Formats: sequence, structure tokens, C-alpha cells
Amino acid sequence: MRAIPAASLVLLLVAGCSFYDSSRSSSESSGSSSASSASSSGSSASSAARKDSYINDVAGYTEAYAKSGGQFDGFTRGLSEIAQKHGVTDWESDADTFTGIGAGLRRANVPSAQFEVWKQNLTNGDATKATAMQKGYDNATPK
Amino acid sequence: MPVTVDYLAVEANEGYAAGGHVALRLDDTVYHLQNADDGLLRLTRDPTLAFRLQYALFENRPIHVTRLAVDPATADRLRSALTERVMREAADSARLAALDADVALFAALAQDSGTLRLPVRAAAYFRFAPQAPGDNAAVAAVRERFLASAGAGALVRRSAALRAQLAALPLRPADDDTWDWAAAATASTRVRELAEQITALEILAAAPPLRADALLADPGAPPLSPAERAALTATAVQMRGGLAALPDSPRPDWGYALLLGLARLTAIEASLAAGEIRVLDAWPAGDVAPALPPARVRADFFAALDAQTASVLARERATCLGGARCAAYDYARLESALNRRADLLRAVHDGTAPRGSPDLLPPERRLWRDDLALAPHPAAAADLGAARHAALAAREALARQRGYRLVTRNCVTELLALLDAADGRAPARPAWQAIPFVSADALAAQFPVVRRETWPSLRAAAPQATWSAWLAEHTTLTAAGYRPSGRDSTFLFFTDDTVAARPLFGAANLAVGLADGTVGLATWPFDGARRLTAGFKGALFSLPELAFVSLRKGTSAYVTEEEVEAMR
Repeated sequence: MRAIPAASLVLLLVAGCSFYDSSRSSSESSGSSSASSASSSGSSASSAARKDSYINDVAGYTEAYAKSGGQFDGFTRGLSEIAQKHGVTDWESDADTFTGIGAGLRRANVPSAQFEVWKQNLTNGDATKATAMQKGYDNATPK
Repeated sequence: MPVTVDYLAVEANEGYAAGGHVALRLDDTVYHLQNADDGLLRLTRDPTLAFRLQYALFENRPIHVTRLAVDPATADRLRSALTERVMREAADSARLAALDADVALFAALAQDSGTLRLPVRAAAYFRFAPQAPGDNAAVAAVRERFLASAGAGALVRRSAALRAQLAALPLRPADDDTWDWAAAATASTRVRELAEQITALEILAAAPPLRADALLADPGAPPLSPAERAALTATAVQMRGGLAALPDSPRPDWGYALLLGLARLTAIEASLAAGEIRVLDAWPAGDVAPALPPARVRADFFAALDAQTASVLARERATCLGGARCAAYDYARLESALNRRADLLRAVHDGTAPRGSPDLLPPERRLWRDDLALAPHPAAAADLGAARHAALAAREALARQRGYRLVTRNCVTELLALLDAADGRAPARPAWQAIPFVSADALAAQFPVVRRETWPSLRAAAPQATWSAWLAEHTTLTAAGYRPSGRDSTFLFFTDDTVAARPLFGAANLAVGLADGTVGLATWPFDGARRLTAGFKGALFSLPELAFVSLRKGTSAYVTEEEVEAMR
């Protein structure tokens, strides 16, 4: 590759980067069905890994949202989008959601008094959810 | 102790990326920026295995790995920055979709002929007619549980209140020109949420059965074992509690969650009754099957997909039903795996190609309702203009932030910027560092290199022990490692792993491409210019080969389950 003449570099740049493969979500080519099948084959089979991935994404979203100062109403809509990408629609029934929210708030340096307000708003006094949220907050590291 | 970050430089190919591609790998996740249809760079995350499958196997592109040692704090900042960007981009996409939905809403209101059709996700799984009671025991059980806490008559009261709320909803186009986390919900979002809430409560009240075509099964799958039945039963019990609480949820979008949950719960009850796994048909309506690959690889294509879909389904079944109960994310994967399996069986039966899909298929079968009243909206025409302006302004704002630019903002520059920001240094980066393999060398000068390696492409991995085997592996007609997908341009010789013969092979490829393109001039009316395009595109990509530059590598129609397993 390094011996490529300089003029060819222009050609290399012409098409730029890889294109976002929308065919993974539609069907433009025969390769797409095979690729999506293989892709599902290549995804993690471990339930524990999926749980971690879900918690991490919820934490990442919460952290970004809390840093930006957004309001509660918008937060839950965005959270639904994130959860849905993991196949979780009833995210309120999943304690992992609250663990992730707690972790994200801690990472965003939300002080404990403010955290209590978030906890009250989101858990509505449900002890299981509140415990999960507290666990996530306590175990995360502020940044 | 330092941690490692892999910088992945993917070689070029025709089609998707003649310019090469780059990615960063942290832990087992690969992050890379792709050029989306709307002109924006989109940060994509893939498991390492999925990334290798896509680029090295399906696209036949070797991946050069430069493993860099970075301090843990830098890696942590990089991970956070990448995650935050993924989240922000997801929110951007949702916001743009909402603004587009506003345009559609006000356009419909402006043309109001007395009825407005509102989409309700997941409601079309039910054989539903308002006020017509059904006998769905799964839904009825959730209803009784809800009424036990909310009180008799709660469904009627709440449904009426939601209808009144929808009828009085002020409909205004978004007035913000830029996206913001805290932006209020758009008019179309609120309309959709209320329509879904109303329908969810009506379905909860009526308990209609699922439509006959709502469920899919794999007739070849083994029946449910006692342990699997127990796991499904426990899952249903847990779901019932969560679904009964949804109408009291503070989240504004609980309607869809309730509708989909009720449909899934009914599918689980149907599975228990039938003794086999049945799931919702999650394929989007009107999804078109793609073209089949060339006849010479078709049997192997179907055999590979048969093995893959059966293997994934068995694995997801074990993951979902192997424990005490099935987690929501595991159930969604089982549902998608069974959908793919059923679609493959349909494709084999019909002699068509199976459909492509995202890794998780979101079940959204929509019911279009025209019986839900909105407030009269005489200013719809003016608001339509404002809605269009808001959508356009949001797109322009995003294009300024994340629009693809050939040299100054591409997959390389954006990844390097993220890495530099996490590293706390900002070395001067000349324009040529936007070239993938040059950027790898630049990073190697910035960070200690732990290791370099190459992940081979599918064709390069094929055995080439003798001269005859070598030659056979270098023509598209005989190469065992080449499984044409039907998307490649016309060419005869592979030139990517031979330098000396490249101009000679390139000349032959040029001649073959031109000849095929010329024939394509005659076949144009009959094949939609497919041959013409493939021929002249083949000739075009042969020209660099005359100057010792090889871009084209061919693409693969399938990979086998063994090849997937070998990469784990």
C-alpha cells in the first residue's frame, strides 16, 4: 500500500469513508439478508453481556443528558429510544434501567441532594427501583 | 497500567468505500464514522465480530490493526466521549424524525378532508374494533390487575379524558431551529403518544385476540421443554405486573410500550398453549425482498443462511429460556431470531431472497386510525410552512456540526479529533493524515505501538498452495474464495494481492468491462441498465490497476457459520 503513487491518493480520497449501511435495515442487496443473519450470529450470546451493555448505554445517555441540563420529560422520551434499541420497551419494569440511571447521574457529578430529586421523580417511591438507582449511583465513579 | 486501543484501517474496495475506512476498537466494541444518506457522519458501534464479518468477509477487505497503548484515564475519556456522541446522534435522529412527522401532520391538516389518519404502533397485531369485546385471556388478566388498583370504570374514564386531551391539544409547529436535549415534544409526537395511549386503553378494555397472521413459528423447532415452559410462565407473570402499571406511568410514551407488551404477552400465552415458541411477526409492512445472488452460489447461500438462522435461534432460545425467566433484551433477540428463521423458510419455499434487517427487529405493525378527533386547525397551511422551516433549519444546523466533508471532516478526522481530545494533546494534523493508512502511522508516532497485525479478507484466507491454485484463486470464474454477491462490477482478475501482474490483469479487466458494458447497451431495455452499469463501472475500476493501484476486491454473498465461529 505504501508504494502507491501520490496521484492515486487523490483517487483513494474520492469516495471518502464507508457509507452508512442502511441496507442493514432494508433490503437493497442479496448480501443484506446474509449480512444481517451473520451479524446476529456475531452478536453477543451472553445475557450478562447484554445486561452490562444495556446498563452502560442507559448510564451514558443519562450522563450526557444530566450534563446538558435537560428536563425530566425529555429525559424519559430519550430513555425509551435507548431502551428500545436493546429490545426493552417497558423499561420501568427493569431494575437495570434504574441502576444505569444512577450510574449516569454519578458520572455526571450530580450531587446527592439533586440525585434524591431524580430518584423521587423516577421511582415514585418504589423501593426496588430506588435501591437499584442508589446502587448504580454508589458504585459509579464521578468524572 | 496502560490499556490498549486498536486503530483499524480497512482497505479500499469499489462501491461502499473506495477511499478506505478506519475505526477505533475499545474493549470488544468497534466505533467508526460512516457517511449517511443525509450527508451527515454517523458514529456507529459494532461488536468486533460483526465489524470483521462486514468488512473482512462480506466486503473482502483486509483490516490492518495498530494496537496502541494509552493510559487508562485517556481510554476512559475516549469511551465516554464516544458513548456520549452515540447518544447525542440518536437523539438528533429522533428529533429530525419528529420534525419530519410534524411536516406530515400539518400537511395532512392543511388538506383536511374531514378525517386524519393517525398511526398507532403495534395495534395492528390485534383484531381490534373499538367497543367490540374479545376473549384474549392474556390481555384480560392485565386488565383485571389494573382495575384492581385503579378501580372499576377507570378505563372508561381515562380513555375519555385522553380523547378530550387529544381533541383540545394545541397544535403548534416547533419553533426551535436547533436541536436541544430539553426541547419540548413536537405536536406530532404528542398526537402520536395520545393516540397510542387511547388505543392501548381501548385494547386493554376490549381484550381482542391477535390477528391470524400476527404470530410466527418454526415448525422444525423442538417443542417446549418443562424447564422452558417454566421460564416462559415466569416471564409472563413478571410482564403482567409491569404492563398493569403502565397506564399510571409518568413516561409520556407508555401507550406503545403497553400495546407491544400486551401483544408479546399474548404471544407467550399462545406459545404455552401450543407447546412451541411463537412470536410476533416483526417484519415491517411492505418490506421488499432483495435480489438473489448469482445462480452458481445460490445453493450455498441458502445452506449458509439455513445453518446460521437455525444456530442463532437455538442459541437465543437457550439464552432466553435457559434461566428462571427471560430478560426483555433476551426475549427481543429470540423474537428477531425466530423472525429471521421463519423468513428464510418462506424464502426457500417461495424461491425468493430472505429479507435483510437490523440486528433487532422492532415489532411495530401499525394501525391507522381515522376516528380520533383533533381540534380544528385553521392555520394549518401557515403552520405547515413553519414546520418545514423548522425541519430544514435543524438539518442545516446538524450539517454544520456533523456534515461530511471530503478532506476536513471525514471518518478519519473525526476519530482523530475524539482521540486527541481524550488524550489532551492536539498535534498539528496535515490534510494527508485524513488518508486511512497515513493516519495509522501518525497515531503510531503519537502512542506506543504494542502490536501490528492484519485481519485477512475472506478471499485472501483461501488456500493457494500451488501456481495453478494461485491462478484459479485470481479469476472471478474459478476462485473458491469468491462468492459473488451480485453487486460487483464486471471484472475477470483479482489484482489486490498481486503487484507484478497487476497492469496485465488490469488490461484484461478493462477489456472485459468495456465488452460487457457494450453488450449492456443492447440489453439496457431488458435489465434496467444493470449490465451496462456493471460493465462500465468494471472498466472504470480497472484503470487504476494499469498504474499498479488496486481497489476492487469483490464482495461475498454469504459467510458460513463455521467461518463465523472461527472468528470468535
